[in-house]
Amino acid sequence: MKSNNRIKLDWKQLVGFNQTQQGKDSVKKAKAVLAAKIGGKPVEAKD
Amino acid sequence: MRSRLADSLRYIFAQGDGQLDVPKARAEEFLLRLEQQPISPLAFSFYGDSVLAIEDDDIEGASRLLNELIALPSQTGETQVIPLGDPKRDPVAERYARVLNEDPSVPFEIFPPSADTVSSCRAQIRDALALLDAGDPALAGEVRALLRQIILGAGSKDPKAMTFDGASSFMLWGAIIINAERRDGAIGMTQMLAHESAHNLLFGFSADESLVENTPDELFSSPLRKDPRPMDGIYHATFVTARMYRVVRQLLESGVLDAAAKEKAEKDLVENARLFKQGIETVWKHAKLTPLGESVMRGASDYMVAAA
Repeated sequence: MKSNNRIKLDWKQLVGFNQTQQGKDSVKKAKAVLAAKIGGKPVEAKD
Repeated sequence: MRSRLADSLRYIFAQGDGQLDVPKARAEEFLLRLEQQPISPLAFSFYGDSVLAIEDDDIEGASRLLNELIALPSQTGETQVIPLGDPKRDPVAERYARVLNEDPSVPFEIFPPSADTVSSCRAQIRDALALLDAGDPALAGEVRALLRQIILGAGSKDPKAMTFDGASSFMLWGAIIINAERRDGAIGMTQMLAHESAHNLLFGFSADESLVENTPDELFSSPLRKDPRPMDGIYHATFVTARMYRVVRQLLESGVLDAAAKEKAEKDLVENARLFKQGIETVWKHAKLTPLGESVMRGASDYMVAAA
C-alpha cells in the first residue's frame, strides 16, 4: 500500500546501498550491484 | 557488519517512527541481539527489501519485512551446511532463490538437491575444511569467521539452461550457495570456499563505500563468465581468482596433498593464474577504482606478481 507520508532515507545511513556511485543517486539503482555474484567456474547457456 | 546493520536499522526505525508498524520493544530487543550474536544471513535480504519498499513508499510492505527481520533467530558461531528446501513450497528457500535471481540478465532456477547429492557434498566440504585446517589454517579460520551458512542447491537439468557452481550476495551476507551436484573433489571445494568467502569479504569491505565507480551498464569480458559483466563483477571475479590461486599454492607448499590431489592442484594453479591475468588486465585498463578499490586490488595483484 502506498503511503502519503514519505519516509526519507539518507544513503549514508544505509549498509551496502552505497557500494556504488549509483547508490548515491538512488538506492534502487544500487540494487543492480547488490545482485548476486554467480559463478565459481565458467557458466554459460549451452546452445 | 552486524553493528553497521544495527545502526542503520535504528536510523530507519527513527525515520519511520509513527509510520512503520514495528513494535519498539521487540525491535530494540532484536537490535541488542544483533549486536551481540551472529544472525541469519537472511537478515540482510529482509533489510535490503525493507529499504527498497520504503523507497517505493510501500510502508505496509516495509513494516511486514521489518517484522520478519526482527523475528529472525540468532545463530551459533558455527558454519552450518544446510540443504535448500523447495522454493515452491518453503518461503525461506524461496527467499534464497529470489535473491539469486535479482539479476534479470541472468535468469536461472535453483532446486533442492537430492539426499545423495547432499551427502556427497557434505563429505566434500568436510574434506576441504580438513585440508584447509592442515595446509592453510589462516584461510580455514577466515572461511569459518565469514560464513554462517553454506546452502546446498542444485542446478537445472535442462541442458540449455543457465546453471551455476556457486553464488554469493550482499543480500545474504554470511551465506554462500553452492551447487551440490558439483564433482570437483576436496581440492575443488577448497577453491570454492576460498572463492565464495572472498566475495563475502569484498561485500564487507564495501559496506560503506564503493570499490569501483563504473556504471552497471558498462560491460566487459569476465575471467569467470562467458557473458559480459559490469566492472563490479569483473573486480570481484579477479579478486576471488587470486584467492583461489593462493589457497592452491598454500596447499601445494604445505605438503598435505597426495599425488592425485597434487596433480589436480598444479593444473588448477596454472588456470587460476591465467584467469587472474585476464581479469587484472581488464581491471587496470577499464576500472574506475575508488581509493579503497585500488588498495584492495593492489594487495591481490602484488601477491600474484610476487608468487609468479
